[in-house]
Formats: sequence, C-alpha cells, structure tokens
Amino acid sequence: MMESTCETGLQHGCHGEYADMGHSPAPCQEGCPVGTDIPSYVGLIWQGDLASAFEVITAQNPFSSICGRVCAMPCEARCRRGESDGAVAIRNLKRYVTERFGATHRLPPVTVTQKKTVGVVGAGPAGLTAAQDLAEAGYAVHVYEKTDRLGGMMTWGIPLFRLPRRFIEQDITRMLEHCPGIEIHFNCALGRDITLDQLRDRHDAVLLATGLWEDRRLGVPGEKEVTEGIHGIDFMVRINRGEKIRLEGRVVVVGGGNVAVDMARTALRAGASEVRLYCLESRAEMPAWDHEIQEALQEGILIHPSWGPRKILHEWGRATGVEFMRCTSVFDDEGRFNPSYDPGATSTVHCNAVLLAIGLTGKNEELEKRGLLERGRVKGDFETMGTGIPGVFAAGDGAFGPSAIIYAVHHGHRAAHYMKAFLEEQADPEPYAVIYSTRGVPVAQDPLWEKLAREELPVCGMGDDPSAMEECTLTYDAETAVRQAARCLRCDAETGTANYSRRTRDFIHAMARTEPGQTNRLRTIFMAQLIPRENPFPPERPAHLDDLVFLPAALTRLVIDPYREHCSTETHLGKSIALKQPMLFTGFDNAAPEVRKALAGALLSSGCGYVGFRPPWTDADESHGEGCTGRIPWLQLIVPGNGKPHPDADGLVHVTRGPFRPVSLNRLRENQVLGISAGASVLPQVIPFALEEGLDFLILDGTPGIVHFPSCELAGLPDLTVLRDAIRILRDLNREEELNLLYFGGLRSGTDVAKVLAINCNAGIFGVAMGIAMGGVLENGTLRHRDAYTVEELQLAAVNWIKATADEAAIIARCTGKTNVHNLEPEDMRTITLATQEAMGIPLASGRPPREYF
Amino acid sequence: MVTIDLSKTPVRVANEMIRGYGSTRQDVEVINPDARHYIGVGLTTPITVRIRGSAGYYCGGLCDGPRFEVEKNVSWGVGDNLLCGTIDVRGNAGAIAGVGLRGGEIVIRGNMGSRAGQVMKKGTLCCGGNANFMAGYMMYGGRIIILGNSGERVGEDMMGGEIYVAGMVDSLGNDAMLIEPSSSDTDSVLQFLDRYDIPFRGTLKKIVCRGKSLRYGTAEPRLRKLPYTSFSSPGQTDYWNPKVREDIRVKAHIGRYRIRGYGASRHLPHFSDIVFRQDMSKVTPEEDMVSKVNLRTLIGDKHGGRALDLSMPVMIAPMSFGALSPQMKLALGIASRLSGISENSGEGGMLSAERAEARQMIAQCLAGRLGWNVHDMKRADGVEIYISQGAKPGLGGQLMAEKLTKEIAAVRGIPAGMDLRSPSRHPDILGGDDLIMKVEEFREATGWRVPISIKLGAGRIRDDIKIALKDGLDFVELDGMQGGTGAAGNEVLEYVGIPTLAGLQEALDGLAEIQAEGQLPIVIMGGIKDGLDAAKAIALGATAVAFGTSMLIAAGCITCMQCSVGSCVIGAATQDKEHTARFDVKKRAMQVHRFLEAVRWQLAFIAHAHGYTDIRQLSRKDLVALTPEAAAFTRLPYEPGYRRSSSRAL
Repeated sequence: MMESTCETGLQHGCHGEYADMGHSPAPCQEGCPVGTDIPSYVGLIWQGDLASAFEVITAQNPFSSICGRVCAMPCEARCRRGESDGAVAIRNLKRYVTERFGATHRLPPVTVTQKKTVGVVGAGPAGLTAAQDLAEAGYAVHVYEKTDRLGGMMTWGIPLFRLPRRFIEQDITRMLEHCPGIEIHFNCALGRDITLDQLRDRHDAVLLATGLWEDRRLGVPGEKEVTEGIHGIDFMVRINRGEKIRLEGRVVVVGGGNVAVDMARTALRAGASEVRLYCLESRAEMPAWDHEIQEALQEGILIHPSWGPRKILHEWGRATGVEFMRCTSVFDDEGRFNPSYDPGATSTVHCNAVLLAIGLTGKNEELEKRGLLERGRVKGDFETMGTGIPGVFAAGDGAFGPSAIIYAVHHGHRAAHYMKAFLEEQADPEPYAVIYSTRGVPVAQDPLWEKLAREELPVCGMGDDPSAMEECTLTYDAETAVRQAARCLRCDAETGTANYSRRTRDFIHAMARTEPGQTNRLRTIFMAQLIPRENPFPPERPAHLDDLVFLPAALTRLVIDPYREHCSTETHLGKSIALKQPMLFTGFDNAAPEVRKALAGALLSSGCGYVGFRPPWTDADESHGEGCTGRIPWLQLIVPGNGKPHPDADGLVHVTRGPFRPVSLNRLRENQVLGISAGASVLPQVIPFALEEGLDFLILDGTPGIVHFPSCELAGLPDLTVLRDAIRILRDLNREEELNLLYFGGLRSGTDVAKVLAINCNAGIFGVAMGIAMGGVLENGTLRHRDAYTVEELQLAAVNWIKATADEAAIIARCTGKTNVHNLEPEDMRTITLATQEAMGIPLASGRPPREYF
Repeated sequence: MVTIDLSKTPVRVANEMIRGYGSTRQDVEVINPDARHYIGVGLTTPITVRIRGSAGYYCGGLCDGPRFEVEKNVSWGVGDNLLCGTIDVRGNAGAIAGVGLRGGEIVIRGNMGSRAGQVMKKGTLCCGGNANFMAGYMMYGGRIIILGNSGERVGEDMMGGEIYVAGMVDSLGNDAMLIEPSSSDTDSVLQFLDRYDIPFRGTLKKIVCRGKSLRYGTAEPRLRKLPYTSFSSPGQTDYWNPKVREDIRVKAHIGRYRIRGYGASRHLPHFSDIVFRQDMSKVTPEEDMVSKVNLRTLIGDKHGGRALDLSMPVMIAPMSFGALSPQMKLALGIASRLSGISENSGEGGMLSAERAEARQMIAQCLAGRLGWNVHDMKRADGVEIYISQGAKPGLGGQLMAEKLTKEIAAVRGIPAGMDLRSPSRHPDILGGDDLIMKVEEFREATGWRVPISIKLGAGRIRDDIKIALKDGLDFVELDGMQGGTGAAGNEVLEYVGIPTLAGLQEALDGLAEIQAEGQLPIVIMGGIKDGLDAAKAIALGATAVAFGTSMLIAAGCITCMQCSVGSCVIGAATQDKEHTARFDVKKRAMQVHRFLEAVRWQLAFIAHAHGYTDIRQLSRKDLVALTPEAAAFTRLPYEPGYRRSSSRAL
C-alpha cells in the first residue's frame, strides 16, 4: 500500500535535497508512514531529555501512546542494525517515553476559524487523525461513529492485555481537548442513522473512514451450517465491550497474523483450557510478530503452522472441530497468495470453539447503493484520497485494505491535506508529502554502543486473574531505555568524513540493494550522483594550515621505520637555549596560580620553553631561579613602557607595534638571547635590522599581536604569509642560517608545528591549544580556565599533551623519511588550495607541467 | 645427484630444472655458482641442493622443505622466508640472513651481516661467528644463536622469540633484555649445535623482549565521530572547531596520537570536482548497453606473466584478514568472483576459504612478512609488493590488540595480544635498487607466471613511478590520501600524502616526462566511490580503479570510523566472535556484488552516453574542472558553468 519508490539513497535523488544539504531521513524515519523523527527521539532518550523526546514522538502522531504499545513498527523493519544484531527497540523506547508524559501532556486548544464544516465517518485512527488536522486548520469537524466508543479497531480489535484502555483514552482525550471544534456523534452509523446525502448537505466535505468490520469467509464445508461455537472479530469486540465470554476446553484459532495470536491469547484468558493456533504459513512465514508469538508460546498456546482448514465439523449447528490439510506453500512462484495443499496429509482436531482470524472486509449498503463500495472496500484514489464524488474522500482500512494503525494515521493526514485543498478550492493541490524533519540531536556517546544487545520487554504473564486481561509486558526501566537508545547507529547523523558523507554512504547502500535489471532505479541513483558537491574551497576560504600536506617517503625518498627509529626533536635557540622539544608556550602570565604551577612543572619535565611578560615559575618557587638545575627557558616579552628587561630571562623579545622603529636591545648578561616579534607587514624592515644588530631570533607572529593573548589567537585564522615572507627575505639576503625563527599563531597540533618547522622555523609557540589541553574552554571569544582540576591533574594533562604533540611532529617527520624534525624542509610539503599555495609559496600537490627531462 | 652448471645455464632455467628434479626427488649439485642470485628460490620439495661455491642474494629464498649446502659464502637474504628445511652455509652470510624466517634451520658457520633474522617468526638461525648490528631486529618468534659476539643493539624492538649469545653482547636493542637461560634452553641449543657438529663449550646469555613497547598506554576514550561538517565544510573558518578541541583534549588524556579507521576525513580536491562535459541526464539507457560496451581489462602481462582478466576495469583494494573479519573477506572473495574482478589479500596472509571463493586473488607482500609464504604466492594470480598506502604512507599497518586474536596471530605467525605496529620498511627493499632484486626473486619463486605489481601511497609519485617502471613491475596500484585503513594515526591520515586526484595526475606526468606514457598501467584507488569516479579516473588515464572503503559500505558498513577498536557493529572489521556472528556472508556478498554490478552499469552508461563502445575511448577531452583547485591539479579547463543544478541533472 505504501509507495516504495523513494527508498533510502534514492530519497536524495527524488527531492534533490542534498543540493542544499537539506535533511534526508534515516531508513527508520523513512519507514515510518508519518515520518516520525526517530533518530532524534532515540538520541534524546540517551541524553535523558525525555520531555523533548516526547515532543518529537507526538509531533506527527496523535496516537503515540497507543503506538508505543502496539505499533506495527515498520521503522524497526528498516533499522540497519536489524541487519546485524537486532533492530533498535524503537517502539519500546517510545512506550518508555509516552508512559512518562502521555497521561498528563496537554496541547493548547485550537479554535474554529472557518465557516465550512467537515463530516468524518468513523472514529478510528484514520478518521480521528484527519479530524484533528482539519480542526487544527480551523474547521469544525463532526465525527459520526457507529459504536459508542472512539478509537475504532484500536478500541475494539486489540485485547486489553496488549493495549490497556487508559492509553487509548489519553491519546484521544488529548486530541479532543486540543481540538474543541471536533464534535462526536456516537451510535450514528452510515446508512442506518444517516445517509451520505445528508452528510453532504450538512458539511462541505466528507471523509469516509469506515474501517473493516466483517469477517472474511473460509469458504469450506460446514462453515455456513455452524451457528454456535464459532467466532470472528465479534469475539474481540464483545470481550472489549466488557462481556464476560467464557470459553472452555479446547479452542482452535485459524490464522497466522497478529489478530489470530491476539485471539488465541484472549481465548486462553477467557477460560479455554487449551488453545491451538493453525495457520497456512510456515512458522517462519507467519505474519504475526515474532515477539508476540514467543509470548503466546510462553503462555502455553500451541502453534501448528502449515495447515489449512478443509472442513468445519459440527453437530446440531455447533462447531465441534476442524479438519485441516497440509499446506505446502502459501505463495506461488510470482509471490501471489495462492496456497497449495497436500490433500493426502490431513489432521482432524476436535474442539469446543473455533475462532477465525483470516482477515476482514467491508460491508455497507448505503455505500454499495452509491457504487462506492467495490469488493468490500470504499473506492478511494490514493493519489487524491477522493472517491470520485466531489467533496467525498476516503481513508483507512475501509478504503485501502487491512493495515496497521500508523498507516491509518498516514491516511488521515493525507486525506486532511487534500480535503483542506478542496475546502480552500485549490484546483491543483500540491501532492501530499510526509514531512521529514530532524532535530539534529548529538549522537549518543556510549562506549558500549556497538556491543549492547537488543533487550525485549520483561513479560509478566497473565496474572492471577487471566480474565482481568492485565497488561502482559512491563515498560523498560530507565537504565534499560538508555542502553537501548545507545544502540542506535544514528543513520541520520552526518558521518565523520567528508569523503564518505551520509550522502555518499547512502548512495553506496542504494547501489548495493539494486538488482542489475532494475534499470530505472540504477538510473535514478546515477542521476542523483551526477549532482556535483559544492566547491569545498570557495574563493573566500583563506590560506589555512590544514591545506598543507606532507610528501611521504616511498621510493625516491627512502622509508625509515617510523614506529621505531628515533627521531630527534632537540631544539636550540641561539647559543644558549636548548629545548627537548621544538615547542614553547605563551599566554599563562595571568592564569590562576594552580594552572601556572602545573604548566611550569610540565614545561620543566618536558623540556619546553615559555614566552611571556612574567617568568613561568612562580615567585614562591625559587628552585626555578637562575643558577638552579632544570630551569624553564623563558623569553621575556618587552613592550616599550611595559616592564623592564629581566636579568633572569633567558631571552628578551622586543614586540613591535605598528610601523617598525629601530630599538636598542641589550643583553643583561652574556648568554641572554635577543629577538624581535613581528608580523608580516614589518618584516622588510625588521629582518635587516635584526641581522645588522646581530640578534638571535625572530618571533614570526601570524596573529594581530602575541601580547593580546588569547584574543590574538582566537580572532581568526593566522596570517601565514609571515612565514613565507620571512623565508623569502632571508633567502634573498642569503642569510637564512643567521636568525632562528619561532612561529606563533594558531598552532594546534604536532602536525602544525611540523609544518612551521618544514618552512624552516626552529620552533613553534603554542597558546590557546595548551589552554584547551589544560581543561580551558572557549567562551565568547576568550579562553576560560575552570577551577575543577588539581595541580597534579593539570600538570599530567599538559605533560601528556606535550608528549602527544611532540610525537605527532616526530612521526610526521619520520613519514617523510627524516630522523630529525629539523630536517623537515619546504620541499616535503605541498598545498591543496590555491590560496594556501599563494600564502605559503609552496606548490600545489599536482599540476605543474611535465618537465622535459628526467 | 644431478649437476647444473651455472656457467652454462641461466639461473632462471636452473631454477626450473631444480624444481623439476625436486618433483622427482632427485638431489642437485650446482657448480660454478659464481655468487649468482636467487639460486633455488621457490623450491618446495625436500631435496638436497649442494652449491659448490658462493651464492648471491636470496639463496634458498621462499622455499619449503629442501636442504641447501653452500660451500662458501652467501650474500644477503639467505633463506628468506624459509618455511621448512635447512640451509647450511660454510662461510659467511651478508645482511638479513634468515629474513622473515618462518621455520626450518639456517646455519652460518662464519660471520653474518647486520639485521640477521629481521622479522623472523619461527625456526632457528645459527651463526658460528660474530653477528653485525641489530640481529633479531623486530623478530616475532623463533631462535637466533650467535656463538661469537652479538653486534650492536641486538634484539632491537624484538616482539617475541629468543636470542642466545655466547660471545660478548655489544649492546642491547630497544625493548630487549638479558635473562638467564634455563637448563632446557641450554640443552636445546647444545643439541642443535651437536646436530650440526658445531663444537661449543662456552656459556650462553639469553635475550628476550622486555615487553614495554607492545601495548599503548592509556586507552583512547570511545567517542563517536563528530560530523565532518563541524570541521570541514565549504568555506569553513571555525579555526578552533569542535574536532580540534576534541583532539587536544583526548591527547591531553592519553599522551599520544589518536588512532582511527578510514582515510582522510576532511574535504580534499577530488574526482567530485571534475565532471564530464556530456550532459548525461538526457540520455536514455539501453537494455543491452552493458553488453555493448567493452569493459574487459587485461592487466599485468607486461613481463610475460599471465594477465589478470577483469570483466571491467575494477579491482577490490587490498584489505587484510585481521583488519577485516574472515566473514567479510569471504564475502569479498565471493563478490569478486561473481563480478569477475580480482580480490587482494592485503597484509597478514591469505585466507584459504577466500582463496577458494575468489577466482583471481592478489597476494600482497608487506614489510613485516606477516603470514607471507611461498605457497600463497604460488596459488595467487598476482603478487603485489606494498611500499606504502594512501592512508598512512611511510608507515606500516597497525592492528590493535583487540583484533590480534590467537587465530589472526597464528595466520600471521606472531604472538597474539599486542598492539601490532607492522614495520614500514621492507627488510630487503630500502630503495629502488633493492626493489629490482626483490621483484626478480618473486618472479623466480612464481616461475615468472604471475604479474608483479607495486602498491604506492601517493606522494613523490611523479618520480617514484619512474623507479617502478625501471624496476620491471607490471603495474602500479596507486593510493591517494583518501584511501582508508583499519587503523592509523589521525594526523598521518589527514596530512601525509597527496589527494588521489593529484596522485593520478602526478603519476601520469611522471611517465610523460620520460616519454613512457601508457607503458606502466596505473590502478588508482583512494576514495573512489562509484562508477562515475571510476570513469573520470579512466578518462584521465588510469587503467583501472580499486574499491576499498566502498566495498565495506556496500556490505553494510555505517561509517562509524571505529575500525581500530575491533567491535565493528556489523561484524565486518572485527575479530570478536559475537560480532562476526552478526555478519551474513551470503547476503553481504550479494550486496557487494550488486554494488559492483551497479558500477558496471554506470561505466557502460557513461561510455554509451558519449557514444563510445569501449570505456577506454573516454579521455581528458571529455572532462572539465568545476573548481580552480581541481583545474590546477589536473590542468583540465576550469569551466564552472558545467556545474549542473539538481533540476537540470534530473
């Protein structure tokens, strides 16, 4: 019944949604006829935000409490995890949430704003859903229900032990309170109490959602003669009305679907001492859900698959048994229902009652008279939900055959869509489309998500008094719900890789599920694949460190063994400063004392340096003072008018501001190194000056100014041209080796530092990255340290991060065939964007014209 | 005993003869060996081969069963990968004696060169004299006996096995330690020496693995991947984005680089940024289109071997049994057969069930020689020498302890339960000159029957491919940085290597520079997603493409990128029995097969849409670049006007 042309993967093609990176549904969401945003509510359950989960669950489904218990769950059938270790327990999770909020949740009332009115025949899921949608659109809706209760087959056809009455009531009460414009006319049957013409007179549009109420006939001998001891759907209706039907002895149920299983279990509760269920299908083919069958088996019901009834045995009009013959196959080669039997294999079973659950059909003289009923169904066109009579629409099982609640809800929405269009006198309405939305909920970060198994609901049996029809399963507890929610693969979430994005992955999945002969499908997929991606590097993307890559060793450069061979990271600045790693840090001058203490400890043990106005060691910590072993090399930042050069500093850094003016820099002691910090714009003046004055180093500052920490690093992308220009100027002067170069600005990883080393810097200066490593958070353009950590924890984090970062730099160097990080050279790198090529002066990864000779 | 005179008989013929005599169990005497290379390579019968003089490279290499007696010296690589049998060398041996030894006994009565027993797994290597540096380098198992001095850094990075030294231990290698041998250890060594009539009266020192480098420390926290859009989307400028922050925090926790599966995850210029000029949206496919377009591709017969016969220019990329479950490998084998293409063992040995299912199977040889053996070579339809791969070029494979189960370890011939970091440099291929030697050894071992190819990660490919051409390889499998892996360091995945598109262009340009266009077929891989990508690569000049990651996705992979963890939710990239039980081989094989057939349809459709009857009629002229980068990478015309909107394409 549901059109299935838009399957996963093809969805992108059908709607071209990825052209604008819109949402395409996960398989489960696509499987849900009303498009429930399942991945989001499952994610919200894992997060513990049950109120939001409930909002998601109810957004497109007015019968969510009911569906939480008895939905046919086409979603789970589509769940990708179902292909490996069991689908995510979507329905049970829904039940868990609706049980919390279903009874109390209220929606604000909507008022009647339209003059036109609508008549809906039948208060089942299709009719009520349509009524709600039309009421929400401002129409007064009159619902004509032939019984004295609302809910249709939800109320009459499903046993209480699977769907207790209160859940039906809470969904319907919520709907009616939300839609005061819906007026119910009970005990008002079409034909008997009101005619179609009367309805058309009273209302501007009519929806026929009459359902299926008549049992199909078996068409076997004995069926017509029997008047007692045989029941069909009336058995469920009477029980659900509250009649105490007592069965005894053996009861035979015929049918293999959920209704048959429900009847069998109900019969047991109504007093049958033995219940046998016979069906045409083999055990594996039975349409009833497996967990329902399991529960039935647990209750003691005997299941006899692959038997078809041949004759009803009877005495004095009372059924006494059934004769079955072996069913050898249910479907023919073309997959049509066409059972074949082995007449030689028969079995006769005697019983006190026979319950038939072989399907339902429709019957209504009024409709038949109007030519609206055909083979037991109301004539309805699924594309328009119309019946051929203007203003008369049809929906639900009555029109489109036996189905499940959630499909009826879809019909209701669908019919309401076309009815609104009719009421608004739209000549050519937009085709109805299920809304697929996403809340973009983060993925559950559960370390066991791959391992957790599906858990079914705890079963509690029939209880002390089976005839009370107590609910037979328990809802998940909170822990189980979280475990089950963690299992979701989150097919809705974007993947972690641009190269195999959701879109690409879903295309591949679609290709893998298309048979070679399905040319149309192959073509649809291919046409969608033809849509190119957006340019990932639009012109506005500036030069970026990420857009540099390294050339690995292979044949022309010899491979070394990077996992094992040592790669030196020792670093020298000037003549006097030796670092174990090519890493210095800045930005902790004003950090909390614990943070400073932890950083100092980490720098000392890791052999890294510090750049700042203040020394990295605290005043109280004299062991770091001059003359002691194991001190942290400190380069003191000096801004004219801000602080005096310190004799303890291992180096002095004059920070330039604005246009460069020569300054006088003096060593306060013999081994003190001297340098200047400068951005790209002043390099042409700074470099000759530094060379002239015999300075030891330059800090190449890719930020608006190292002294403005942390905003300088957080303001935007670093200006990489400072690296290019420094090297060019030095090279032009042929004095590359005479100045040590340090780089500051946006360094985040060992790879980043390897890149600046390859450009010919001696070391990199980290700021924000270390702040983050030590638990700092970025907030409103600043870096805030939290006081949640001890000095030891902070120090360990800093030490770990330095080690990891230095290792990264080393392994990158080793991949290029180097055993010393300082042997990295510009020729080891390539760029992948034109902007970065320009800013760095490093060639693109390919495309230079072939040389004329080897 | 029959005699072969190497002054009259070329080694290639001599080896055929030795194998022939072997099949009739006749012993062979080789005279005038004149230090020729490859003597006896690939012999798998238990005969005696007496070499009257000195042998060159790889004497007795890739053998199973024979007994070699060498009267004088051998050059390097004696007994390479010996499975069973003995090699008794009266004189000295060059470097890497007993490299990759997997059983049997090698006795060098004189001195032996450096790195003896590198990556050996089983058997005994005995040296009567002194060893040079790094004996037992990265050995996984077996026994080395050195009666003279150990040489420097003995047992460097050994992961298993034992080394006995009677003379001086010059220095211990990293992660090696000295222990006291037990009396049974000593007895066993003495018995061995007795058998070879080697007199010995001294005492032995024993060296074993200390075990400090076998496992990573603190486990990486399990985090499901951030969506790529949080760190790489068009125009992205959030510099301190969530991925950067997460990486920093995790490193501050574990103190080392992060590891994950899959290839480069950020956007890179790719085949998606070039398009065919032809507007295919208006073309109607024809019913018999697939049979009308010639897709069949023969590859690898450049040096006289039997070409791989591919029903379309597509291969399955090398993925190891170990990284993948046996079920997933089996599914790939089945799908490759159903679709008439080739499958590849990847690192770590060939799964027999898969070999049986796949009609064409390439055996991949890696530096660690894990699972490598002559029998798999002989039953393979191609041999591939792995130099590097796109995901982690310059590095070897990684297999986390969770996936290095007993079964996998047994196939690989190594101890179970360590975080295996395979060596990245072949013991015997340091550069282009050694590569020639190795290629020849493999040709000898397989009787010059199968194609020998080389796997290269794209980097300096413009020059590397010239070496591959000169070194006599049949084709190149070139892998760009989008190429996936089961486990690698995140930074290496993201920033080492060049994009696949660039790699292909560089390789083609390299061949053009030496006027060798078309002389070395290129199989391109690394992020090839579908028939469209494949057709573009072929139009640019590739001979074929290989699918890796796409194969896994076709089999149901959901792209969680946690392959390294070893609990793959669909049972494809795990060895955990509970998880592999989730994998339905038949169903998954059919999915992979259908994907491949969809690729075939796409290739045929693209050719058909251009009015071609052979996929090879596609050329650069049919392509334009949509982005300035893609244009610069490929030198295709920059024609953004060809960016067809979705409505036009549909």
